[in-house]
Amino acid sequence: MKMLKLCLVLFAVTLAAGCATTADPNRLDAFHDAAPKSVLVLPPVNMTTDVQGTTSVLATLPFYLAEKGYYVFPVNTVKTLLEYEGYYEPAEAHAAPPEQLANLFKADSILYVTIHEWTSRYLVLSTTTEVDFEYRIVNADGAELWAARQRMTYTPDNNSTGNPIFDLVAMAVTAAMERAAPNYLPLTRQANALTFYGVNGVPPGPYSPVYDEYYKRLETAE
Amino acid sequence: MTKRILLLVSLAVVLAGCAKNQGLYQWGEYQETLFVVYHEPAEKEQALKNYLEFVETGGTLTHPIAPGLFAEAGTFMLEQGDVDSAVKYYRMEYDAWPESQPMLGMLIENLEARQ
Repeated sequence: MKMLKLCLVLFAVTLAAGCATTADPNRLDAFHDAAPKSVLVLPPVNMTTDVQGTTSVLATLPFYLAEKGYYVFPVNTVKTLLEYEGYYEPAEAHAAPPEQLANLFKADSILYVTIHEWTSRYLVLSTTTEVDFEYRIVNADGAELWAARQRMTYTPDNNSTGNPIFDLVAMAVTAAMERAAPNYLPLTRQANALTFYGVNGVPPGPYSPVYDEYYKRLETAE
Repeated sequence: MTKRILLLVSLAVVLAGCAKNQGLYQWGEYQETLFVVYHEPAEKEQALKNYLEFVETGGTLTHPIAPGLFAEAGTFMLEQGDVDSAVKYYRMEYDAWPESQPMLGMLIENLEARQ
């Protein structure tokens, strides 16, 4: 039994290491060519039954991309304007032609997020919360620039990711959020941080202090 | 003596404030405010009042108010039917962020034409 567990762990490590080294070095080419300055964040499509999923995830997204250096269109203003334009449900906006949406706001790129999982399982001794998000950035013509998928689970009393940087990013949860969604939001923020700032994250945007250096280094590398 | 304590306390407050601001921008209680607006109607009025006070501070040179946050204040005001305040905040966003100008220029124009 012990042997089997050990094998499983080794297998998982190999798998993880394999993923890290086989990452495509050219995967950001389209992003670098487009070098978007602004991001239009659409309300996430929620595939789960939790009615708070869309708005809760929407509220957490601007922070990461703006601090990365992009102009992020105000998400609640965008949500409101989309409703005025007749896109009442997130799925309707996601199904609309991207060039039409980008043109409406004059945005350089669009971030689509789909919530695949946003659940808490109440077990006998603990509660396990699971989130699973799919992220996709396209340019104003609809061509894909970057994509990621992040699945995370959280069990209270074990709220460290094992990575001190991501633990720092998981900020304190304020009272109203704690009452409504005790476990989802820290987990959502960790998923966002890992996705946007991790090894397969997005390049720095024009307001980032390292933006010029980043694109200069790309030029010399070519 | 009390003056000295006061000085120490304000210094601590300033330092704590700095420690919170290691990123590019000031965010205030932005996420919390959106959350309350969406899910906690009983606390909405107070949260909006606090939020408007925050954006009115205008941020600092090294840590401006984050992109989008003036415009969100405008939309909150628009939802309350206060078009004058909405236009005021939309203009603040317009002046601060060139990327917002196509969207907000149109919005401001339409709102002013409606008045």
